[in-house]
Amino acid sequence: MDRIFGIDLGTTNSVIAYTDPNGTTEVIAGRDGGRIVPSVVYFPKDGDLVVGSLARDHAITEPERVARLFKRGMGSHTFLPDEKSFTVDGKTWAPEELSALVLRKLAQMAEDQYGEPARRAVITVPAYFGEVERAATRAAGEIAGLEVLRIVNEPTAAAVAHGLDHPGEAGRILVFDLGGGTFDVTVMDVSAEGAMQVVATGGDRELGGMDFDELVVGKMTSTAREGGLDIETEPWARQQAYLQAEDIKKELSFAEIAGRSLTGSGRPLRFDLSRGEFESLLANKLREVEDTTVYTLENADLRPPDLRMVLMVGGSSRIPAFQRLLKKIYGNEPTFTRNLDEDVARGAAILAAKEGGQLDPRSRLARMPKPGDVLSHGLGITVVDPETRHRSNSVIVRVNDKIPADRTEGYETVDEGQTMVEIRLNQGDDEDLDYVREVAKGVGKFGRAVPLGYPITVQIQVTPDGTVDLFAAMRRRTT
Amino acid sequence: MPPVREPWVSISSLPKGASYEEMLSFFGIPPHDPEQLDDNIGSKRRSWHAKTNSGNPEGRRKAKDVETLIQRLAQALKRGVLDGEGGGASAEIPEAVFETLEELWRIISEYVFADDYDQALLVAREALNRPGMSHVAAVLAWVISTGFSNRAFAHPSLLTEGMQAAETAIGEQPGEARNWESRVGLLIASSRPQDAVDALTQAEKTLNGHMTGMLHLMRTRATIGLGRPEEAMLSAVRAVHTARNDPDVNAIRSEATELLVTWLAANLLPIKSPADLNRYVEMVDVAAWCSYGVPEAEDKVRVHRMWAANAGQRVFTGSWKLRSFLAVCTGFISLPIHNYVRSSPAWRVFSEGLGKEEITESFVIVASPQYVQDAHNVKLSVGFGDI
Repeated sequence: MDRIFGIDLGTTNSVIAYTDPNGTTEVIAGRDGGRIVPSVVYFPKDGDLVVGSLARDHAITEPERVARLFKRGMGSHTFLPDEKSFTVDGKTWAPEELSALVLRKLAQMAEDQYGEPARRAVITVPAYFGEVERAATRAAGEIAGLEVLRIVNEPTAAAVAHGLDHPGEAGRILVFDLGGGTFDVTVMDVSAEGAMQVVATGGDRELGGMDFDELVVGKMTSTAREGGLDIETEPWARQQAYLQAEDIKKELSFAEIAGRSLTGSGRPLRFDLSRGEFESLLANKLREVEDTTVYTLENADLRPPDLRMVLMVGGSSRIPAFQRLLKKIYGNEPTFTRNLDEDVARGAAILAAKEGGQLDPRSRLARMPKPGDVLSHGLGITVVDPETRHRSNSVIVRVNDKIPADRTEGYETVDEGQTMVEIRLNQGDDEDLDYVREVAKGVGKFGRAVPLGYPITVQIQVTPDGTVDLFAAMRRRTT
Repeated sequence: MPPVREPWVSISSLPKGASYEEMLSFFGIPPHDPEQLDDNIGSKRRSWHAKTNSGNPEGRRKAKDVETLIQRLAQALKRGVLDGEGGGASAEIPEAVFETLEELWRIISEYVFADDYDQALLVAREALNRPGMSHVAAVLAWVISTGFSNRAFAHPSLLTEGMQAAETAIGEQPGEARNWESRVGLLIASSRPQDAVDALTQAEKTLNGHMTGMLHLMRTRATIGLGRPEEAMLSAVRAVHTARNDPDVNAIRSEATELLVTWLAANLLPIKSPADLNRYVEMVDVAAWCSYGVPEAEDKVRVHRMWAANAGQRVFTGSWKLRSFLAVCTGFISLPIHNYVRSSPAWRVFSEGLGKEEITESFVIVASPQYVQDAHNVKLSVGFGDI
């Protein structure tokens, strides 16, 4: 039977792991010994494309041929901030295609390790990812030649890796996952037997370590300008500044001050940043993180004292300011997963082993129940008020509803003699269409003209991995 | 099940020049107690921050704007309040080095232009208490007045403090136009437009008619507030004309345009009568003149210029089949007469199409262009067969 791997497909780094039938999990290393693969792709002028650390190094010399941070664009046509497509040598690369290249690299590492093709995987995504992004992740897996057994939420995987699914003290756990490009907050109910059920989830899909790098680069740029140095004009200088900013940010988690020599069009200049200055730069981001965390708790009708533990996951959780913030909200010291960079992949591997039924039935892991999840965004359809013709979103499945979910709502036609209805599926809980995202649409024909007020039922089903099915029918489900 | 949020949480806008009470109401006070201000600010901010993460790009941008507005208002409501008069933002007294009034003006201006009203206020207050300095009240009045006009301040106690400083400044230097600007600005911020108009009349006499562009602009704002658009248009033209050689002429053009456009959009649309149309066209012409050469102001008035040019055009509202039939039968002789008889001005088609709650083909022709929708700032359901 094919091995099933767990893959953490991250914004900045990706990891692959495998759990054997005895329940032992191993993070797989590449030929260079590295277990963490930067999610970066380099397209050389001649020769094969490069994924990982080598590609990252080329970001300085040939930034226009290097793709990074593409996970932020999953489900969209591009990941670039200026909305332009990423094109190299005349070929345009969609975010899922780039992600597929990273997945292929990870699969290759697994093949090298075990001497057999890697064909099946469980891939993690941020809990706050919606239907479109999940579908794009699944597509990336398929492009890479992988059968994606399940899409799993990163915080859930991290909690599994931390052993929260083992018998122990029951209670509510908040998983705080601050990664390179996304931020997730997930509240879980863990029973004494280790059964995990997500009860609330929230997040920010555009908040992560790269935004903190951006702030440091901003400070670098203004300091350089004051010193007569320009680090903005040349693409290589800008890329180098980003890499230096990332290094400085990481160092400031352990040191009080960190610095680098800035280079660009002018004389090199020393740039030093203290932890205090860095935290001042972070002030707005800290507030946003606090807002999202508190809002998620409020939405679940929870208060910080209701939590038994706060678990920090993701590389950016190393920043002391976020640890202090969580302590302020929670009132106690937060707990860290054992390995901030690898635990999501480890958890995914464990869940993969359970999903595929590959665990020895006598093992403890095999006896643990699968974690239950909730919907991170509501789902509804566009409806029209017959009086005012005002359009709004009618929510059918709400945020934090348990999945699998199956809900049906009744509607009526709004015009006399209507021959069809257009169904627009929206992602989001707001009634205002501005604050929801249209994810699919289709037309249902009656085959004849029907009177005003003719009844229609709309059914939405959400499968355990978040796939959404919508059925619309006249009176009863026939379509 | 997510908790049901109170109605004030979803309110996303506030009128320009909103009063202190309106700002508090934006944060649900009342019905909530003023002591809950901080909690309500947090609750509203969190709710809108969550919207910046969901929805379509346009909605996310809107939510971001509302979040910024919440932040600004939260600061304005708490900023500059002296100890013992309520909680609020505090700041260290800066080590501002100033020996002369000119240096004080320079330092204060730098703080204000950097949006650092906390520091500007602290330095101005410190200067007022420093022995040997004269004419400092003018500085304090200017800081507070500018802060109110930029929504950096909102607390009534600051209005009182600013007004006292402005009165003192006018007493010391009645011929200094900036002192009058501070006083009138604070009267407008206090929602006292008639007092502002009276103060402007007094200023005109004292300054021997040498009114600044800013004072004319303030008259525009005050008369708009009093619902006197003819006077507002006149003073807007005067404001731009007077400031034509000043470095801040673009700011005055922009502000004058916005005042006129905001008023006409709120009071003249949808057009209901020929008199409304005439006034709309005239006011749009004046606003367009004021906006000349300032791209963002020209953008604001553009849709209204287009609607003003088209709102009076006649649109055929009769039967198209009958028109063709008559045209053929009479060798096209009757066509001009028939067209005239069975047509109406575009504004009437627009207005009556909505009034009867029926969407005719003519209504679609009039209402569907984007500029008409933008001018009216409403979403019109004209998509036949959508659902």
